[in-house]
Amino acid sequence: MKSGGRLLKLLFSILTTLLVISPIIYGLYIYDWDIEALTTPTYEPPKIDFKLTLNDYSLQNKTLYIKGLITNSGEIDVEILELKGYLTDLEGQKYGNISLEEDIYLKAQEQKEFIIKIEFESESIARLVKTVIESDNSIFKIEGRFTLTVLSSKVIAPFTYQIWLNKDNLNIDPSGIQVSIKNIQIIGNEIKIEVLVYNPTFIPIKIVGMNLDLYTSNEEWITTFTLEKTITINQKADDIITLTSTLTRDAISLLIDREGRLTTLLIVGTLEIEIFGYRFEINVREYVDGGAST
Amino acid sequence: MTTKLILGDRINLPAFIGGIIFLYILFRGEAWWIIKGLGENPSFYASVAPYNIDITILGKPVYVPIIEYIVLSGYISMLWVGISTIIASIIPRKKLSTYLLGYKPILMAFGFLISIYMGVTIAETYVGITIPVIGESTLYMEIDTQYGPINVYTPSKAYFTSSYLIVLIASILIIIGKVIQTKYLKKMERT
Repeated sequence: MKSGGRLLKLLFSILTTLLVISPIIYGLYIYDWDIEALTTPTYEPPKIDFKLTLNDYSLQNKTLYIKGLITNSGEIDVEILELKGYLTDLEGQKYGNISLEEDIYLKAQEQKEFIIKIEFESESIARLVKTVIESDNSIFKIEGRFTLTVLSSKVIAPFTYQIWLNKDNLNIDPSGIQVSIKNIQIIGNEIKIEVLVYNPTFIPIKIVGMNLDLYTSNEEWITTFTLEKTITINQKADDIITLTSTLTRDAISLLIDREGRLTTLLIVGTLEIEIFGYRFEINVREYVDGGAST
Repeated sequence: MTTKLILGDRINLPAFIGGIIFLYILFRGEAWWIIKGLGENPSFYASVAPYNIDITILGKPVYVPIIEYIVLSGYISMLWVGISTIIASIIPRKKLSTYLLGYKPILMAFGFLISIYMGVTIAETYVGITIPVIGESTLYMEIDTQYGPINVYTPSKAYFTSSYLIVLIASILIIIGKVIQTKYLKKMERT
């Protein structure tokens, strides 16, 4: 009886073991005893991908705003929370710190406008403006790391994007600055000229110097006008700058013809302009009709 | 005194209840241990029970062929334990009942706990992810790419479900049933 009980106990143990291991053995048989194939996970992650175009550049004060379009061409909704990094040139020299104007929530296959903000120091904005003005097309890199949420995970990933900056897309083409003489006036032995300067760029410009020589049409020198203080002209605005000089008796005789009218005059000189610490000169050469008021 | 729990010499009550609970848990099919990312749309979810293992990352399932056979084994084992326990509980007078009533249920419950602990240890060693057995923590993973490392942080929560607690209670009931059964048979042999 006792040995029968032991046998029964053994049979139950064997049966239990068989029940537990037989599915595993069956699996190994199905996979041709290839343990690696049986234990290798199969996982096709959802596509996470973005398409980015940056198309609108706007330099305001010491900040460059880059407007762009971002498309979530992946399969999961994402929220881009942060973009941290630098604007650098191809040699890796840093110009400014980049950040996002605001969070971007993008559903799968959704496209949205967004703004990247690049903030500069006084020295770096001057370097940028100099580089951009002195070359036709400069290549820069936006390089850093962005933080996004994918479902409940926070992902911090590297980011690099090349941009081309030039005078046109930054609207800082100094050749567009217009200078014209609006008025000449003689009061006693003083002569005043009004110089109209138009700033077509999207940033304020500083006129830090102006030297204009006044000649007769025969190029006989009459006098020189000099700007004595710095004048700032806002973006897309004009300003009239009045310059005064003293005339000698000989100079007055050169200015006025026999009928007491101003002769045709030639103004030649330079304006020294500063944009974010970067200085350059604009040449002026303009004939002023003798009909100008006196 | 304890042998009074064998109702009318016909049913070993604790073992019978334990066996029924075991089968109930099996057919209810709920997970015993869950780990998931926090928030409305968790980025990953894993529910584990001997009879069912589901792993979803970023909304897509992870398929490991061996899991299919492990859960089949788990399902058959639980079914066998449940049925054999119920059979044993209704034949308390037979010697066979002592062989059918065993420590398998409690071994299964604690074996599950040990398996989970080993699983998270393996994940930490080979994949580099620290997964908690219980409680909240932030899972961290670094993926190297040609552009630089991608860091992934996932706040997550791991816990044992009420189903696991019920299984533990059922296992204890079955052990009590086994003790009573042994005493009952000894008492019967004496008389």
